[in-house]
Amino acid sequence: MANKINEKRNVLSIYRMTTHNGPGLRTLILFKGCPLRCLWCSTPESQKSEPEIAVYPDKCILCGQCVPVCSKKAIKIFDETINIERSLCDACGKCAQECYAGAIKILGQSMSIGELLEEVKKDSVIYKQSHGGVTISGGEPLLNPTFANQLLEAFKEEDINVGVDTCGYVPWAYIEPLLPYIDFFLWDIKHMNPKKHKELTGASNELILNNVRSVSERNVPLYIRVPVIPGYNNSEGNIRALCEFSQGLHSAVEVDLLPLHHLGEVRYRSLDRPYPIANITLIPDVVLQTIKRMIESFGLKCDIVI
Amino acid sequence: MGTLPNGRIYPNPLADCISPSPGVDKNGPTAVIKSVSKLSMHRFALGGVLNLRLSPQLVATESGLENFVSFLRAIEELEVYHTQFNVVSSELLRKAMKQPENYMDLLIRVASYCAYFVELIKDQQLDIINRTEQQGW
Repeated sequence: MANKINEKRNVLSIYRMTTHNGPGLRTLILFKGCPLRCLWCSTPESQKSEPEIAVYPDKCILCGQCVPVCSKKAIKIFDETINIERSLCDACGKCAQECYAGAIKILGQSMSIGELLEEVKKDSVIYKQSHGGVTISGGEPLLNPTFANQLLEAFKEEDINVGVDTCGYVPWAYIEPLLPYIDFFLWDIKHMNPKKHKELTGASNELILNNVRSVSERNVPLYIRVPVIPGYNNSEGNIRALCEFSQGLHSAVEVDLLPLHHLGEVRYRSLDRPYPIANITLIPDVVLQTIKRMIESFGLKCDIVI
Repeated sequence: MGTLPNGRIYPNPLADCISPSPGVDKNGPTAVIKSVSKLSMHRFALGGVLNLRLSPQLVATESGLENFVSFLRAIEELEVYHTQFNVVSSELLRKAMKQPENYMDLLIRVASYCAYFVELIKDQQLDIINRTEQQGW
């Protein structure tokens, strides 16, 4: 075990006492790196595996300490705040270390399996009382299969309940060896039409749907998660196809709806990236309830996660 | 004690009884109850009160209530003497908008997505206030 606990991966954040990430109260680990590029992604900083620099101009106190430490001369002060020329920046993080005001942060911290295990064990009393545990997410938690294997094995050695929140767009060979260590999956199904799925996420859905069928055949509980993006995937046809598909999954526990929100906008801004879905209005509750009723008419349990 | 370098201005209290000092609660309520549970409460002649904020979204559903009860059982197992919950009302959120420096640790739990309220932009904050009001808090 000693050599395994030093394996590392870039972690975006760890949230304790979260809800709606599986049963009970759970520690949620977000890993950096994702094979998809969903149009509505609310965690853009989770897409790349490497660390990234985030800027919060409102916090800048104009001390100028960040400017001289940048070896690429990427930082300039104008318009009463700092401005980073992204084409020059290599995300070394020296500016973030200098910034006392918290206007520059480096997102993505390399953590070892041992460090993650220590963090997750802190809430053991909460897992016991709430029948919770840890859920790994991101980004895509299964992107590095060796790391995932060793991490989940480490959790299981401590008798911790394990959930995996995945997009499913990884080879089956990554998923299969992990199954003995996984208590349930949270599995996104973004669109049932392969062409539409590719337009909206960058990849087709065949691998994802094949994987989820294979997981179901192995009887690992599945919480199907549907990000509901008005005008893009909430048509009756798509929801109906999704219900028919989910009904055929023997180990499906429920189908949860994740309505679009715009809380991710500030994250795009901090990365100096345009916000791609500013013009999509939020889905009215009455429409969400109609989708929920359709799912329930197929005999599936449905929760709306807001 | 005068004004401190960490931003606490004289004569504000150092902390609200045995609750964390403003701004130091960075790891959420489970970290708080674990830290507090290390205090030897039998040495406090009149006891000590931990004040925690309760997000209305947490208890809005049946499963949320079950989770809250689990949290209370964890508090009991950790032998924390006395905990009080103040609901995060829309009034509190409005105060946080006006004086963010006093509400740096106010975490808004939006199901699986967490955010510090003071780090959101104004439109998002108003959105959350509206939703909190609609839920009757």
